[in-house]
This record gives sequence, C-alpha cells and structure tokens, in this order.
Amino acid sequence: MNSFVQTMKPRIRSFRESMYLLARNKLSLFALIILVILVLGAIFAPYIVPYPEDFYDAVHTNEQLLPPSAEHWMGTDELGRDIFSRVVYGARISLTAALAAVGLSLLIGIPLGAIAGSFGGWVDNVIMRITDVFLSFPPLLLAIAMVALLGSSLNNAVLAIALSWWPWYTRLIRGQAISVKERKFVQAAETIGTSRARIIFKHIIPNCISPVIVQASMDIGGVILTVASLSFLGLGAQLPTPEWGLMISTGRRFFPDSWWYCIFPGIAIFITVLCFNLLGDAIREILDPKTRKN
Amino acid sequence: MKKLLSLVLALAMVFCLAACGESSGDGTTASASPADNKILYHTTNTEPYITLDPSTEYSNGIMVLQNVYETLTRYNPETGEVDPLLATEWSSNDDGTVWVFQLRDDVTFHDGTQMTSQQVVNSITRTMELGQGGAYIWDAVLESNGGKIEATGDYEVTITCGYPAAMDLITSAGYAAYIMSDSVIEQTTEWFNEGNDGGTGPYTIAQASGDTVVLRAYEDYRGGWTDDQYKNVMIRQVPESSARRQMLETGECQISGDFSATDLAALKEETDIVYTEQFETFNNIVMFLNTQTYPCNNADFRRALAYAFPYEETVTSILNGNAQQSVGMVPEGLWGHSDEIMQYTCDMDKAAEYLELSGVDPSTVSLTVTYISSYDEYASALQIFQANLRQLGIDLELRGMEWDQQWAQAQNTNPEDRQDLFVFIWWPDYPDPVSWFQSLLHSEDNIVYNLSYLNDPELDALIDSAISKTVTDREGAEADYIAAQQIVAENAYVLNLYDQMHTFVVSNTIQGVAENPAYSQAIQYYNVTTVAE
Amino acid sequence: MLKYIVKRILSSILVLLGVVTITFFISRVLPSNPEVRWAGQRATEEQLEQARIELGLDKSLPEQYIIYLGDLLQGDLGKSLNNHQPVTEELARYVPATLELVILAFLFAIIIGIPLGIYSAKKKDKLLDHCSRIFSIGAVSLPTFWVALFLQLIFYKILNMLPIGGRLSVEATIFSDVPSITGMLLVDTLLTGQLDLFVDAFRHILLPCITISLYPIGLVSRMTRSALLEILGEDYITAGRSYGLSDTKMLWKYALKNSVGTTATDVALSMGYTLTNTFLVEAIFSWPGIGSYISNAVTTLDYNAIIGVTLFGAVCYIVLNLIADIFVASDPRVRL
Repeated sequence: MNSFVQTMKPRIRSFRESMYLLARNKLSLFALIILVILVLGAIFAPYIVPYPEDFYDAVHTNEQLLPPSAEHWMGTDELGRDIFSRVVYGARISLTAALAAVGLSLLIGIPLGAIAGSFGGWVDNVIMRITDVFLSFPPLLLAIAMVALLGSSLNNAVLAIALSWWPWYTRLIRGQAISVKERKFVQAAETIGTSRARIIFKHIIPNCISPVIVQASMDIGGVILTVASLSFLGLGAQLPTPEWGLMISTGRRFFPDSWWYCIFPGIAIFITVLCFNLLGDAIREILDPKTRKN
Repeated sequence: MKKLLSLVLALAMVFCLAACGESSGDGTTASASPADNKILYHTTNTEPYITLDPSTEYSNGIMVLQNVYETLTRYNPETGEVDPLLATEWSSNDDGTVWVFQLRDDVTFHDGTQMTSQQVVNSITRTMELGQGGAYIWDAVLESNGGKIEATGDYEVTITCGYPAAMDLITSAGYAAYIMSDSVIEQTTEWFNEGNDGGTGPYTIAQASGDTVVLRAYEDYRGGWTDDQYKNVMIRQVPESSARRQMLETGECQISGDFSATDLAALKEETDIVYTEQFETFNNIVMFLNTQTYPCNNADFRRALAYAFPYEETVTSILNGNAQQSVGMVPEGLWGHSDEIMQYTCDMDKAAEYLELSGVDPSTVSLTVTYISSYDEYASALQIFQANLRQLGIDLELRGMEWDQQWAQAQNTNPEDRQDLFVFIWWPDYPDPVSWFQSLLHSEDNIVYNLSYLNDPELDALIDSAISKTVTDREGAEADYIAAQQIVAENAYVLNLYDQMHTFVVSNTIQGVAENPAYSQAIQYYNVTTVAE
Repeated sequence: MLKYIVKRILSSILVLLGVVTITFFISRVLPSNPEVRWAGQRATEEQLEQARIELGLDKSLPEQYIIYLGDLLQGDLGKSLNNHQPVTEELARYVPATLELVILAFLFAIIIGIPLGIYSAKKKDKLLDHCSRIFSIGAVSLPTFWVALFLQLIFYKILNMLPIGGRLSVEATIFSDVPSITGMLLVDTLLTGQLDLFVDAFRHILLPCITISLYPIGLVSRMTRSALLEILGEDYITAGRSYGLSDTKMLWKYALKNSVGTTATDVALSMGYTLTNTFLVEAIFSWPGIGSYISNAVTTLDYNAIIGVTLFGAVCYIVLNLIADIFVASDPRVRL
C-alpha cells in the first residue's frame, strides 16, 4: 500500500498555506473533524459510553445478541455486552496499537536510514540490501508468520507489524540524508571534527525527519487495517479485548442473524481508515503541487 | 493500453506455466441408475480428516475411516458392552492376558480379497510398528512388554498381553484398531492421503482433497445395498455456521452440526425442512488447577474457584443445552460414572466464603488460564468466569493459544512459569474410564497429562487397584473409580466443567443419522436412508 | 540494457537468499515446539524424540541451515506438521485456485480501473473525479474480510443469487470430470468446452473475486489518474495543446502511452498486496487456495506450511518486481 506513496516528492509549504489548502478541500476537512472526534472518543471512552463496565468486567447472559435499540445503539454481543461501548473503546485500542507500530518502525527505520544515507559505501549497501529483503515479502505475510510463531497477542502483533514496516522509512530517510549530507552546515560540522554519530543525530536526522513524519501519519490508516486483519485471523488482541478485528472475528459465528455484531465494528474500521487515508491523500496533494490545479 | 494488456497477459502466462507443474484427479463420470446418483451431503465445521492412514489417523478422519474400515468389535451405547463386528466371538483367560478372537469368514476387502486372521495380525502389527496416534492402546501387546499377536487358525486370532488388558474394549477403538488388506500394509500415509484405501467397510474413498472427501458404495459389501441407501456421500468442510445453515435450508446438504446458538435456534423452528438429533458423547471439558504453586496450592482457594465457575450459565447460555454439567470425571453412559459424586454449583457467596477461609488476599493474585483459542465456547465460558472472579477481586487473564504452545507451557520445567488454570477436552481412546485416571490424575515422573501436577498417594492407590480389577472384577473397579472421583471433587484438584453433546441437524428427507459416543463425530452413512414420500 | 537485466537478476537472487535466511530464523529461532505438532496431541516421549529426529531438530542450527538451503534448492519446503504431506505438493494443489482468483481480480481492475482513472483525470475536480477519488480511497480503506461477509449477506442470504462458497456446485464436484490442465477451473472448462461447468465455476468465483478486486481497482484508477495528470503537466503536452490538438486526443495518444510504465509497476506490486488479501478472504468463501491453506495453518500452527507460503509469496513478489522492472527498462523511452 506504500508503493505509490514512496514516489512522492515532498515539498513542504508554509503552514498557513497548507491549512488553507486543507480547508479548501471540504472532504479532507470533514475527515479531519471526524478523526478529532474519534481521538477524543478514544481518550474519554469510559466517561462517554453508556456501559463502561462492558469493556472488560461485565457479562450479561440474559441480554445476549440483542438487536440495535434505544438502550443498545449497536445491539449486544454473545455475552450481552453493549457493542456501541465496546466499539468506542476499540478506537482507543486500534489507535494506540497503530501509533505504537508506526512509532516502533520509525525507531528502527530512521537511524538505519540516516546511517545508510550519511555513510554511503558498503554500509549503505548492506543496509539497503536488508531493506530490500524485508520489502520483498508481501505486506502482512511476514507479520502473519512472525506472530503465528511468537504467539498471538496484541503486543506481538504490533511488534511484528513494526518489524515488517520499518524499511519504508529507512528508504525514505536515506534519500533525504543523502541530500542533507551535502549541505553546508553538515560539511562545516565535519570540518571542525564533530563525531559521525553526533552529525547523524544532531544534524542529519532533524533535517530530514519532516517528510518521514508526514509519511508516517499517512500510514496510520493502513496500519490500523493491518492490526485489525491480524486480530481477525486470531493473531492479535485476545478476548475479551474490544478490538475491532477481533470483534468481527468473534461475531462471524453469529452472522448473518446477528449481523450487527460484525457490521458495526467493520464500519468503525472503515470510517477510521478512510479518514486517515483521505487526510493522507490531501496532504500528498498539498505537498506535491504537480497534481494540483494551477 | 495494448502494452498494459499484453503485460498482464504475459504475467498470466508466467503464472499458468508455474501452475502447470502438477496435475491430479482421476474423476469418474456419472453413470447407471438414478439411485446411484443420489448424493448424501454432509457439511462439517472442521476439515474431514488430517490423514487417511487407518493406523495413524488420530483426529477428524474418524468421520471417514468409520465408514471405510471396520474393527473386530464395536461398542454398543445401549448396553455399554461391545458387540461383534469383524469378530464373531471372543474369550479370555482368567486374568485377562490371553484373548482369542473368532473372525467372520464372509468378509472381503475393497480389493476383493478375503479377510483372514493373518490380515488382522498384519494390520495390528502395522499400527503397532508405526507407533503413532492412538497406537499406544496396543502397548500390552508389544513384544517389549511380553505380548504377542498371532494367527492361530484361518479365522482365529490369539492376542497375548504382557499385563491384563481389556482387549475386547481395545479392539473396538475408533482409532488405531482398523483392519486393512494385505495389499495396503506396505503403503505410506501419503498413499492413503491420495484417496486410496484398503478397508472392509461399506464405502470406499473416491476422492480426498483436504476439505472434501467423496465416498462411494463398496458394491460387494456383505450387508448388501438397497435403493433408499446412499451410494455417494460427500463430506465437506464449510467453516461458517451460517453457510452450513443456509445449505440445509436450501436443501443443498442433508446433514450438518456444530451450529452457533442462533443458527441452531433458528433451525429448530424450521420443522418443515429439518429435524435435530442430539447425542451424548464421551468428551468432557476439564479445568486443571495448578496444585503446585501459589495460590492454587491452597485447597480452599481452589474450592473458591470451583464455586465461582458458571456451570449452569455455560450450559444454558453458551452451549444452548448442547452439554450438561459434569458429575465427576467419567461422562454419563460409560461405566465408572456415578451421579452420587459431589458436584459444585456456581455460588458466589460460597466462593467468597472459601476465599476468606483460604486466607489468600485476592488483590495480590493474578491468575492465567490457557485454552485452545479455536474453541469459541471455552472463550465465552471463561469470560463469564473472569467476570465472576472480578466480583471476588481476583484478576484472571485469558490466554488463547494453540495446543502445542498450551501444552509446552504446562510442561515447563519451572513450575512458576506454568499456567494457573488449564482448560481442555478429553475423551477415551476406547470405552474404558482408565483413560481419565491413568493419564490425567495419576502421579507421573515426567509431566504429560497430569496437568494439575497431582501427587496424591491415596488417589494413585485407588487408580492402580481399579486398573488391576478391570477385566476380572468390573464392579470392584467401578467402586474404586467412584471413590477416586470423590477425592478429586472434594479437593477441587480438577474442575469438571461439562460433558459435550453433539447436535446434528438433519434434512427431513433422510433418516437413520446416529452418533455413537465411542466414535464421536462419525456417522454410519450406511444406516442413512431416504424417507419414503 | 542486457547488463541491467543481468544485474537486476543477480540482485534478485541475493535478495532471495536474504528472504530464505529470514524465514529460516523465524521458523527455527523463535520458540516453538514443532515436534509436538508433528507427533500429535497425545504423543509419548519416544514419539516426540522420534519426531525431533525426523524433523532434523536434533542437529545444530548451522547444520540445519545448510540442510534447509539444500532442501530448498530441490524445491523441498519440508512437510506439513499436521498431515505430514510435503508442503510443496500441497502448495501446487492450492496455488492454481488462488491464481485464478488473483488474475481475474486483476482483469477486473484493469477493465474498470483504467477507464475510471482516465475519466477522473479528464474531468479533474469535477463531480466524477471526486466520486472516483472517494471510491478508490474507500476501496483501500475497507477491511476485506468484512466486505466478504457483507457481500455474502447480500448476494447469498438476502438475494440468494450467488453461491456462498467452494469452486463448483456439489453435483459438479462429484459427477463431472474436469481434467486438470492449468488447475484453473475457468480455463480448464473452456479448454474442454464444458460451458455449463464454466458458468458454474464463474458463479462461484464472482463474490470472492469482487471482494479482492476492490483494492486493485482503486489503486489502478488512482495511479492512472495521477500518472496522466503528471504527464499532462509536461511541456510537450502543453506544446501539443498549443498546436491545437484536442485534449482527448492528447490524453489517449500521448499521455496514456507514457503513463503505462509507472502504472504497470504499481499494478505488479499491488499484486502482492492482493495475494495477501486472499489470505483473509478465501477461508470465508471456502475457496481452496493458498489463503485457506495458510489460515488453516495459522490456526493449527503448522509452522512448515506457514513458512512455505511466506516463502512462496516472497518469491512471487520478487519475480513480479523483476518483471515490472525489466518491462519498464525495455521501454525505449526510459533511459537508464
């Protein structure tokens, strides 16, 4: 899913201009608003949902699989828990998992990319060949193999995603680093004998990190989808965690009669990922004026 | 545009070439009378087999093998005894170490050859030599244990055991006791998996491909064939409960099971299309408590857990009546079972009482329970248990995993790294309670299935005594087993959660679907007939 | 040119070696007990010991690595821990069904995606462009496994128009004789002229195919659109315009031709992603492909099968990349 993203040629414009462009695109603004609501919902989930005890603590076996109603907006699950409450709480799980996975990939990808770009030569060669190897697995497949063998848990799923995702960032930052390396202040630092490590961490990384951060924020949607997919396969979150993919996977047993069990968590995934992707698309257009009008 | 298309076509061709490497299937064409074209279609939740090797298969393949192969004896759930099948009669010496079986003389294998005693000896020898799956049931016959099996007449087999063994029960086993033709003795598992067989049963395997098995009538079966029987049977895995239900509703398939509660409830309403048949099984679900480590080494704490488990809720709300709460280790219907054994009920007041008595501070403990994640019903029941325990202030973490991971953790050499609670399903390999007691409760030097890590001399003595009496003094053995179960219940070593029941939903157009608890999952398709209009 | 291709192939082989090393490490170094799987649930200690020997786990890691490489060179991916069948043979049996699905999905993607992309580029910032943009972004945002369930709900449960699973209806499976030429039923039935079976097979493939084609449709249309817009901004197009060539003509005659390269690369790459999607979808449709195979392997922890499929997927991906690169390189307009 990153294949078309990596060809991007970032050209950072001024913040004000970007906000203007974003605001002009109504759809993206709408997506941004929904995302803000989602994030707020995730943070304040225990205070805003009708049945906060249904996240983990409670079961109500006399209210199994009730269809959507005024009391239960999205119906109840096989143990009588309120699906709406769990879906809202699920946003917290999906967002943190995705942030953790992307953050971990950045942690691996950025230093490696900066080292490859600034050292060049055989160091560059070795690192880039390793990223080639990791990128030659179809997305998800490497993660499936790793979690399957590490044992299913949300933490392992996040770890596995990070381990298969970092090469994208390594590639991106390497390209940046190569151009930054030639800049005057870096060469100046070199001539006064600053250590290599210091140059990399003090000068190179800070100066090529912004496109990577932009890229990472655009990847969140895809990562959320990946987390949900792994959970759906039984390789992610464990019961009774209200993770969206896991809810669909459990709800499949009661599909299609109790359709609400699968359908609502699926809609939640869709809306979240769609908003991230719409926003990402808008950011790309802002950064890449070629595809823009005028 | 053209370029792009040609690229795609080129890619497609590369793939085609890559895929051409293999070819398979020797499908046969339709022919003969309309009755011959009738198909009995059975959809299953799980794959119909793991292997089709009659000596080593130890899983779902019983669905197929029970229709293709036969055993010397067969368990009769009505009488609780074994009936003749390939053997006509048998006898043993007084201590149950030498058994003589007389065989039928009118049995032919699917390759047309006559079954004689030598083939029976060769079949069992093959199973023992491969030593996989359920082969251990023949351990008493192993040469190294002082046993032997020999043909003592054209239709007479003598089995000598190194120690007393209930050979009449063993020969009725659903795994590792099948008799096969000499022509397949040398074949490998791979050969069997290609859809070949060498049995004496009413069906032969026509096709086998992972999720699908097609059976075709063995025309010369000694019972003969009538027009209302099915000469073609297809067993196919359809994992979605809703899909299986829909296929029954549209009449696409005639037999299915393992439905979700909602699907089953809906199907029970549709009496104009289908009816349900419920069968008791010998499968029961047990929870082992880790009696070696804190806090489950405390008997009162274990009793608190025992009173906190939602037995009734599990049976009614999770399994929708497809089970009953266990009384003791041995399921109803098998000798050794008794309704008098102490049974726990879900009683949160008593649980709180025993927790108090145990002196364990709930806020200091965090329990983990392991279970096989593909069993959804365990997860549901454990989530209710988890909620109950939270009322007591005890934290329970659910860890769904695969069997080998679950088992490996249970066998960890460091007891502290093992789980606190362990849920799994157990069933006997042949209808004898020894399976539960010897494997699950008897002390052992290396932990295999004694997953409560018991070492109770009183319990061991009762089990040893029962085993020695099995052939000679069945009643005495039964009394020992019942006493042993009482000890287990009082000490809450193991929680007996529920005995499984199997519900099949069957099309109104057919009758004769039955499941024998000793051959759980298998249906004798030979007994299934169309209902006259 | 030739030098480039040789260099590219050599580097692919190097990457392949890396891939194999990674899969080896995943399968051998991560904690697991394959022998328990191999010997079965109630295995005795002797059976487990025997299993370790049969699986070669009694040897040292470097030795195991050498043996692993040697086996791979002979196309041996080891045996399934569940049914003891060679994984290579199992893959060969399951791959055609998946290829059939993926290839058809890509035909869909091209037939629908390219025109959609062209029209969006032409009607840039008009309603149709926005719709197609939302569609294509929506398509990549949908959880595929959820789409599969949703389509089943509509087309099977409610409308009862299409079958829910499998590749052929029951009667066809038992009584018909489709020779396995390519292993792809649509092709085989056509080659042998069994039109009724072709229709039967097509009805069965339709739902899974629609499910997995959503992503490539969205991708292809987006790629076509942005490639076209980029080229439409180039000088020679502006020049063409000033010569009075119509926009439509420019689009078809010059822009599209020039955008083929980039689009083709992305199509090839997205095939890998689509392959992954089949892993989530096939089991839902009881489609007997490698997706069902791996999801089964995952739930039963059949390590050898999981690693086998992973390796297979990676090899496909590498080969696709190679073909796409060579294809782009052989385009005379591309200077290397």
